Amino acid sequence: MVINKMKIKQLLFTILLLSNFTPSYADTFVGLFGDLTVQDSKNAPFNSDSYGGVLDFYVTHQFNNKTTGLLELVYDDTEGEEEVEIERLWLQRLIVDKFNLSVGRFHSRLGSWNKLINHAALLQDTISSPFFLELRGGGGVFPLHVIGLMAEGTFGSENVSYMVMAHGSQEINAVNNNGRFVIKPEILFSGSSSPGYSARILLKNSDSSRYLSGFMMQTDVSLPTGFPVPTAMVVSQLIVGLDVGQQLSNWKITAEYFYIRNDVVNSVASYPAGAYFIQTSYLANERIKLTYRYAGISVDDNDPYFQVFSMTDQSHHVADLRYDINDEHAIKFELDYVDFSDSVLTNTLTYKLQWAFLFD
Amino acid sequence: MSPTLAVAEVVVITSKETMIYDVSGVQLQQRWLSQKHYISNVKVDIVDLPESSDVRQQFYNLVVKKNGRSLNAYWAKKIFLGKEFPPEVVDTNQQVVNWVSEKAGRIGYVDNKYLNERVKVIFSLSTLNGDK
Repeated sequence: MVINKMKIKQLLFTILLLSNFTPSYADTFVGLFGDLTVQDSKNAPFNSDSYGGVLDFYVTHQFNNKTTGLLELVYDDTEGEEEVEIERLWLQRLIVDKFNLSVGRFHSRLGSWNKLINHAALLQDTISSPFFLELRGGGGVFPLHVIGLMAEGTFGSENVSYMVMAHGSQEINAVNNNGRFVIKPEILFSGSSSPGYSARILLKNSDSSRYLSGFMMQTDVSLPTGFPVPTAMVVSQLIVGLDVGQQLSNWKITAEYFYIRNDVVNSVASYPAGAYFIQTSYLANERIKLTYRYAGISVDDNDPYFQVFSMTDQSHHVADLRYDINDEHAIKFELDYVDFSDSVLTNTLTYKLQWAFLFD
Repeated sequence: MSPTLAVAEVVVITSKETMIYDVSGVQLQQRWLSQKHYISNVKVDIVDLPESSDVRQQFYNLVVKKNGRSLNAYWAKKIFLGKEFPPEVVDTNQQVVNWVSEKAGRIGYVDNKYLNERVKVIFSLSTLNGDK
């Protein structure tokens, strides 16, 4: 949902002036996350030296003890991308105890990473996300946002939670400033595609140090006409996955697996794919954290969905060092080595340095 | 000889009808940071005193273990990630006692000189100070 940049910049500026970066008052809360990031690559197929950042402004409001709302605006100026977007916009109503209904634009519940990790760099141990879930610069290849109606709740003492959602389909029709195609959510019942639906169930132990979740999403995706897809095409996409997490003393380990099946509508063509990551972090002391992540994807070279994104089999070794200056500022350094396995593409190594901050 | 300062003895209270008889500091910390909403299988509503209150400062220093900018940053992240909000604030200890006693499932912290027959103590900060 790209909206007029000037208006948004004026709106952001006005809101920030009015809020004077002060926190909460009564039932409205305003905050701003941001970061500045520089990067340089060796052997990259294109000039990937860059600097940029993200400003992530949000405001929440409690209308009463049962109704809340959130608006999140993101200004993204990373990797040649420059865009102001409504990232999340939702209204939630507590219907009965332990059961909520929400309507709006959300992060899709494709695993814990995409639910919890946002454009707010301060909340993330690493500079980058697993590459197929990357929000920065529109780099992800999964439907990371949805617009629709969500029901969610918990059982018992909140150790089991669930979510079901009906949402619009997805469309790949926009090319960002970096020349990449990006995937955008459609409003429920808009367009000619069928509505999509998602579900997720999460189990965690009593102190939340361990969790296991299963999730699925079924959605139609309209592919852009042109190269590499010569005629209008819709793919019916199914994503099923699992994610687990365990916190043990100073160690934290998380892993997610995604099975993807893209069925071309009005055709017998069907293309499976798989993606996964495993990440482990070690908290050396209260300020320093070390993280390593291995992420990979395996796709069918003939799958038109992944052809649009020029996505080929690849794996990423990512290592990060994070230093927390205080609760509101952190510095991160990252190495990202990309192995393109059987592809003719040259393996690359990227260095990134980031300052992440919060004004509350 | 220096004058003796009156330090409030802070206790955590609930109504007599609430089926909670004892809580730990960790349970209170988790509830005040919205990491848990249930104590002893009872859904619990909570309330805060104003930031300027000495009673609040004692409670947050000893039980919640966050204060000031650190607490603001915590809530900024929590609000952003989920649908959680900090506790509502009332102005006085007496208002806390009244609010707690109105309905089962409510807890709050107060100076113990405001206790009355409609509430019961489920935790005392003196146990954390070691001067039980």
